[in-house]
Amino acid sequence: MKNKTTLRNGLFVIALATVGLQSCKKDPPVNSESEVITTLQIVATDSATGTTAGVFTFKDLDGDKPTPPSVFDTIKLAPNKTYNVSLIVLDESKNPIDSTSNEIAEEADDHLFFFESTPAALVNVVIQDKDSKNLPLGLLSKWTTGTAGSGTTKITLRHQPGEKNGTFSPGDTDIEVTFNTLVQ
Amino acid sequence: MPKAMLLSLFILCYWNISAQCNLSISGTINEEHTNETLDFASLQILELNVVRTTDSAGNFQFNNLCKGTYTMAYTHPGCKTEYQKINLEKSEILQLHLHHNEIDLNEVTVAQHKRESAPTHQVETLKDQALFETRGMTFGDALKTLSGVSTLKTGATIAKPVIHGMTGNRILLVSNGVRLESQQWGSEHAPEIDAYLAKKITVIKGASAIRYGSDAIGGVILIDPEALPSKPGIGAEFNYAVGSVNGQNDFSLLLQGNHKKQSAFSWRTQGTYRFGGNIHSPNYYQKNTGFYEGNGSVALGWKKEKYGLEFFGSYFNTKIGILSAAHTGSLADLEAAIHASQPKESAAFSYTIGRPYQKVQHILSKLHSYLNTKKGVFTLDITYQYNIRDEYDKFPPRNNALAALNHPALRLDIQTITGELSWEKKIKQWQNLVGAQFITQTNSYKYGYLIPAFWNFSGGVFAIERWSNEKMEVELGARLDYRWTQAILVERGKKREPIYQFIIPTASVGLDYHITEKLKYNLNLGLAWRAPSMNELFIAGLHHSTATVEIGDEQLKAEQSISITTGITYRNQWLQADVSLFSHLFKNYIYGKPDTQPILTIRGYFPVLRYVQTDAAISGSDINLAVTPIRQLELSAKASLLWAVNLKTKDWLEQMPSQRFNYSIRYTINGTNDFSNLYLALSVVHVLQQNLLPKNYADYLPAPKAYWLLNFDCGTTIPLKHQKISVGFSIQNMLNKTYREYMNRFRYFTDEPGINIMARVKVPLFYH
Repeated sequence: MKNKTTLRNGLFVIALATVGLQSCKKDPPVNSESEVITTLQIVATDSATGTTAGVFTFKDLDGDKPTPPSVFDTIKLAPNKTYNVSLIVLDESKNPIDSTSNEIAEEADDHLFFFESTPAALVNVVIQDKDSKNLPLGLLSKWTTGTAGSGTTKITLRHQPGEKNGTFSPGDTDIEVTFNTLVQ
Repeated sequence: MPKAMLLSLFILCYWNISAQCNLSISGTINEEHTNETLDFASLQILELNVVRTTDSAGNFQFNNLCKGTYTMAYTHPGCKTEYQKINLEKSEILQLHLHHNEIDLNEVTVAQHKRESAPTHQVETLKDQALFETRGMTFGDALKTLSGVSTLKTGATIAKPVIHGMTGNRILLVSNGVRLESQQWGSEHAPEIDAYLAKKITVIKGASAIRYGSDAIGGVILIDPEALPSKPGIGAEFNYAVGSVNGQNDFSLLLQGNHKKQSAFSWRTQGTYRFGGNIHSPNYYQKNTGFYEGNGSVALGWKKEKYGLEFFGSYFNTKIGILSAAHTGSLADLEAAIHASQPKESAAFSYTIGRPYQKVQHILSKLHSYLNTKKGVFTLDITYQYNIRDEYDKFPPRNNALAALNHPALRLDIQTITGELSWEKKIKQWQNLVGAQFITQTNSYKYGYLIPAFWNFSGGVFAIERWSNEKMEVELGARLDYRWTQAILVERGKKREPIYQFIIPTASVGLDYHITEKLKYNLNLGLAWRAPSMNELFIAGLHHSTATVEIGDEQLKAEQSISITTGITYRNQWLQADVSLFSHLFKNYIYGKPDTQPILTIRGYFPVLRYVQTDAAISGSDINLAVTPIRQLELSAKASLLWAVNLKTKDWLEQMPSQRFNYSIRYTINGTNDFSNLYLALSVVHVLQQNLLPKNYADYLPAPKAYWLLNFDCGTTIPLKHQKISVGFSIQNMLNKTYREYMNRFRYFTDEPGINIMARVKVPLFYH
């Protein structure tokens, strides 16, 4: 008799617990607070005319998750010209879109962009902006193209909180995109 | 610290009585079963703090005592301390008994309604002195002293036990009878276990999941506290351990008691606080490798012969720093970190834990009840567990408002409720155990994403039948589980809720046969299934420490295994030998396989690890040999051998521990009453290079070279008044060797710890 009661009580408790847990199920968290960099845009302006020569984009909405990038442009520039380039970094997984470049500009002392053109003569990049310690930043730069040719341009953003000294080594990589580049 | 505590306790105990003080208590002490007289037994009148030792004929005498009520505590090496109340009106002559400890009274009462780990399985236990000698180590490292058990590590502080090459979801941890449910799939998720709670740790090797639920294809680890006290009085135990390699300090205090008038009521409360700083490798400090851990537990019991109820509740809380150099943003970063001769970020010694770190909390509670009737013992267990894991990235968000919130980059929390009803009865030579189990679980995440939210229901029924006579024991076990799981995925704002259902059968047959009194043979055949875990199905994300993107596969099937373990045990006066062989054959073995196609992200290309299935055979042998040429000297050798084969590709399986050996020499001096069981031990751990790797296996670095380490250990028991204080001292990696271990995920970044000088003390305290 007693056993049955124990059993019944036990099952009742389990049933109750189940109901309790079920109520937790309803809203799985959706929003993510974590910062993702989804997009890098290169906005090139012809330094002689001031007209926009092109906007070249890398866009991967899931950040460093497996889905491949949805947009990956080739940089196309004219030979023997000088361009004023500004980089725009975005988090488009957020609504509204978060402008990461504004935060990079605010924390210029912790960030540094690197540009590497292959072959080296294809594009020559000189950083124009500086942080509070007079070290380069790279959101603004001057690109000078050589003769017609093709190759790649690698843009790397180093995140170097408290360690920035103008060299590549300190800190971690936040962005590393190698754009196919066509000078024609 | 312990000294001061002892002192104050003794002062508290001290009573000074003076009035007609000419009475005496005298008598003899005998061993309860053999009835031989016991020399060097110590006796204490607690109220007076007077100690006597028995002479060679087992006699003792206390003189000049006053009238009054006294408590006599008496003990002998290898015996449990006994107590007797004496109401002293006239001089008394007492006949006292002690019994040697092989059978602990408490354990006998437990065995009545809880089955000890099965004798037909390959079992290793860590208890008493052996357990004490591991104090100060991580839970995983403590288990590593057993053959067949190794660890999967992330740095030096995060260690997961590996049994026969299997870890994570393939191993069950059962803490105080509760199946630990946390995020055990993660290789950098250490088990949420307070090692100081354990009085005994049992490792059951091979598929033996029938009693504890499906999944445990690799084995089960039981962490058992002592049974609640059944004799009136209050007891305490204080543990302290210190280690030099990281400035580690462990404090643990346990208090327990049994009510004088209500003998059914007993209680225990226990707390542990541990902390350590940056770990020193022979050439540098590892930056940000400190940790702290604060745990507590309460147990209350109302135990009668016919029925009883027990509550257990525990809270585990830890914060563990992760080596900062192990966090890399891109493959290029990883390459730079690998080729650096030492971690890029150097540090001095510090207890500060900075980013990245993980913070884990685990709440475990259990209500255990039993009913002991003529029809058998019925038990009902209800448990609730809540695990919260917060992982903080190396850098806070760039957005200042977000950074100010100081939220983790990822929070995973999982709640589990289980219910289990069982019936056990011995009918003639058959011991029958039948039960049903129910589990419900919800998992959610916050701030970031790694695995989806899910909920999970499973139910199972099991039966274990055991037949025994004097020569042999046969065990038959079967279990059937049903599992229903629904994942809740949100992909680009769209919700998807796939459902998985599995029917999971488990069965085992075991035999334990005493060929002669000294020679024993055992055999176990097991059939087990394991449903794919959530991470194997759905994980999608970047591991910063290995710069690898892990990708799950929603189509994975359940994994099945047939395992055979067999062994012989031989024991005589001078030789102890245990040799076991095992083979686990898998169909649809799930593992992470490097993919040739890398994934492009905004941080560049990353290599990919995809969960795939294959057929596999994991076989090996565990060997323990000990020779005692003279009584005080023990020479021992242990070997853990493992071969893991991918049967589909006819090649080796990666991520398996290499062959390891342990040789030790131990000298014990018995007999002196001041320092009983003084021992000195020297051991060599020899680990071979893992060269059983698949052909063309893509790894950033070849498997580390073979290494051997020299360790020293010594200890003794000091009788101080009526207490027996255990002290131990050890030096690990005595030669301060620089080495790396294949089964440490941080082997790309840092050397293993250097020389570690450790000391430990255990002080039992009794009140009446």
